[in-house]
Amino acid sequence: MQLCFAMVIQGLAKLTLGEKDEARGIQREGQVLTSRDFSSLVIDRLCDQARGQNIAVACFYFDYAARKEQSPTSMLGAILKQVLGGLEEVPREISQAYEDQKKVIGGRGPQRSDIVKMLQTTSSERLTFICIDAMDECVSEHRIKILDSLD
Amino acid sequence: MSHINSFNATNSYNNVWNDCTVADGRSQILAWLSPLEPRLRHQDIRDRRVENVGEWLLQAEEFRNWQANTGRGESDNAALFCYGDPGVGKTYIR
Repeated sequence: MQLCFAMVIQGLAKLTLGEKDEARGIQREGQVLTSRDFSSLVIDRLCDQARGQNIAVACFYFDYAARKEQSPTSMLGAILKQVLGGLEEVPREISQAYEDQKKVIGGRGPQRSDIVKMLQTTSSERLTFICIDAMDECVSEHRIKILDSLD
Repeated sequence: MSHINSFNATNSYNNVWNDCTVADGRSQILAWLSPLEPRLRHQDIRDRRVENVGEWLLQAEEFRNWQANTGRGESDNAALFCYGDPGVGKTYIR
């Protein structure tokens, strides 16, 4: 699995160019870039590369305002969803898990460990890029679980 | 004769119905996996992005190495971590 985390733009500039001023010189005046812009650029570039090839690209944008909904389970589920999107068929293991939970009254959401297992299986079969924006906007105890799951 | 016709009609009805169930089954499974839709968020962000801005990032050696060094399994380059000082938060480059 290839992982790309984009957190804070200042760090990005430091990492890629060494000097922030250099970055400043390249940007046209008056344009403001956020880490979101950079992440979306990276995702688009990866999608261009993936076209016509057996490559999966998944993205996720953390948002402090949505921290309640963006639990590790729903976040990893959203990654898995995108990885599956490019497949002709949903793997049997996953459709079976879906059918099984329906037997429980009211249904049952997937567990994080199940999602991680499914993600491992699907991403072992083809090159998978995951790009995560703004890890710093993720609740810290969630961040640990997510990084641990993607390890 | 009329029996055969009615059989055909039922059969084609079933086919259509089956196609629908397959499609619905897929979206139901995906919805079950997560209610979140990061692709919609991505679409929104890229629509508001100014063209050709930030291209230097894609040219940066660190990024290109990460992108190209693919499929090597457990390599050290599996993760490209773009970091910033804690608490910097909403930082902009102009």
